[in-house]
Amino acid sequence: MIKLKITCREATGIVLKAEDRSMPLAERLSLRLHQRICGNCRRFARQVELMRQASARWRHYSED
Amino acid sequence: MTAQTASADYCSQIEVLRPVLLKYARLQLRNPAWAEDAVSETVLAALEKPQAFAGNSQLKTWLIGILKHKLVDQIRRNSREMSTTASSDDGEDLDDLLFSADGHWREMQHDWGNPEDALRQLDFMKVLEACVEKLPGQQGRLFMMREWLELESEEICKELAITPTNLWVMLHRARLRLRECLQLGWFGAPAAGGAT
Repeated sequence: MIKLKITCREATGIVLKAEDRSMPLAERLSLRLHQRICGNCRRFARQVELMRQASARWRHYSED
Repeated sequence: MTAQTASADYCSQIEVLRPVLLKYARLQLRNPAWAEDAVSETVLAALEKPQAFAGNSQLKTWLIGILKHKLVDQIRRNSREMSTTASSDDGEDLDDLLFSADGHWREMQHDWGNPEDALRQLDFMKVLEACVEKLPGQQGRLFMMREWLELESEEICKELAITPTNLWVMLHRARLRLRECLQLGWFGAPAAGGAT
């Protein structure tokens, strides 16, 4: 079931969870709804995205 | 020289790279003795089989590749000790500091801007490395296994005999910590932007 209202703490948990396992559709939808109204959580998700790219770049840098 | 013997030049090139290998071994294993062992095994393997180095990649790339295998060996060998010494340094949960009781952010979150701006810079890589180094022992190990050794969650759980839930909790904490450290060390002090 889709939870219509999640807290920022829950939204953060979902974003981080998605780094290590697949995100169920219901959670993805709850997150998207939440992010539509929450700038902090949008920014947090972008920070996590940047960290992922940074890790990839770092791996590359460590071998080069 | 025969194909079996390492030339002096090849040996000295490997020696030059030893500190770099040791740096990553330490970041991964969080134990100086284990790290030394992994690096020695790597160097030995490279010296024993100079003909295996094809020369079409960089020597460093090739050595790091060997090191990664040796690190996994070390993790296997010492997994029990890693898990038993894990709990003491990883207790604190950043969530409680970041969120109020009703689950809202306590402070405004910052826009980190265009990733390319940061990622292009060598200094950013150094800050990132320093932040990874600051992660508590087991969090650091697990983060490195996931992001640097690129192991799947299932593999990590199997090697360290931990549950997936345990792994995810630790990675969650590690990523929050890393984010905090990058915010402080690179993207500006937490209060710099202020809540607007």
